[in-house]
Amino acid sequence: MGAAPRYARPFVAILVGMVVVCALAPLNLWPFSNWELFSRLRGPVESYWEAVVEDHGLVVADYTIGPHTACVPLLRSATARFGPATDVRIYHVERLLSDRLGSQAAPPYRTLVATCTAKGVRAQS
Amino acid sequence: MHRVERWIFAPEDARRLAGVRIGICLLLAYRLSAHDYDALAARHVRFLPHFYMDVFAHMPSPDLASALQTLGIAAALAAGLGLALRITLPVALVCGLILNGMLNSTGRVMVRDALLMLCLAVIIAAGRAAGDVWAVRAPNQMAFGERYGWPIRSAMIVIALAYFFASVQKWRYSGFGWVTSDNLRWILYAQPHPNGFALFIADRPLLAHLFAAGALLLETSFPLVLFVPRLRWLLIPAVLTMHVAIRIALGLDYSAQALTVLIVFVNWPVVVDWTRRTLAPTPAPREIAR
Repeated sequence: MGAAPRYARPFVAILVGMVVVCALAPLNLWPFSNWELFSRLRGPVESYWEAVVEDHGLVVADYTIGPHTACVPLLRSATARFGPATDVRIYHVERLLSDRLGSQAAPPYRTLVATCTAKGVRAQS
Repeated sequence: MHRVERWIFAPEDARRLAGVRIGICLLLAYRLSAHDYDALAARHVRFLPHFYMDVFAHMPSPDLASALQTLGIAAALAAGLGLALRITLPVALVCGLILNGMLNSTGRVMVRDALLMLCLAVIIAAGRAAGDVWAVRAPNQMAFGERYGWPIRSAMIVIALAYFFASVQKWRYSGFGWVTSDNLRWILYAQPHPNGFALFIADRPLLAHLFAAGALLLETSFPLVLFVPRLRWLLIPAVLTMHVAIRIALGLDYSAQALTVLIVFVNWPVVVDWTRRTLAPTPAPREIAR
């Protein structure tokens, strides 16, 4: 009475083996995680790309996009949502994390990269 | 190797395993009730299936999410009571996996409930032993044996490895720089709206280094809880404090992970016996004299 079942030893070996392999490989086979959360160093600058949708010069929406987002699909989705008179400006945004105004983050630096209009793409020099 | 095996398969009080079963099941029921899965299913048109969620062609419908949530909570509560464990525990696990899989398929994989699900899998593997005592239909008798010990110690090993590998990844990708650089300050500053506690640490480089060193030391040394039981009194509260600090400073909810640690490492029979002794009416001196 009270003995462990026959499958207990192989079960423990597979369970622990999976935890070790997923961490070392690394593989994220949830719930077998690779435990990489916050493991890579962060730099002092936060950098991302932003699309700003404008209608007759007025900003109607802005959202973060990937670094290699093409103009055509961006303009197509903006036109579908906000109407034919929209332009999309793509900005590269950089924020120095230690740059603060009291408890608030200081405004980021934005560089216009391209303007997407129905007439074509205007890249900034 | 034999010493490790002897430790894992050492005899244990059946009530300890039952305590872990009850705790893990109640925690799962709470976690499943804490999210609005049908709203998530309705909102997220973008489905990025993670791992096993590939079996779904698209995000499960709000109705299916709602049904799984209800079923999962009911199964977890029934398993907590020790009812039909061969059915209720696997049902609770499957519901938990799919509902967590939905959260993980929105573009970001969440670590927070992973240990809870792994410990639930261990309870399932324990089989009938998990319901021998402290269950509705179980005879309320004392039991002791190998079959009650290995699931608890397997769960302990998984938890210890989780914290250890969290530190291994920091050493691997960042090394000492994780402590000596301003990494933690940038993490705290990078939030959209850092609160006063986060800014208090981030504005003081020395304090940020101390917090980073403390976290890395704690995670690296956590496996000692397996070999030096006395250190559990230090490392378990320290880990719980770390999760509370992360919750306050970064707004990240690791309560499921912290509570899983507590449930697995607390010796529940000792707690229950101590509580009974403390609450039992003390006999009057005259009764003792008789």
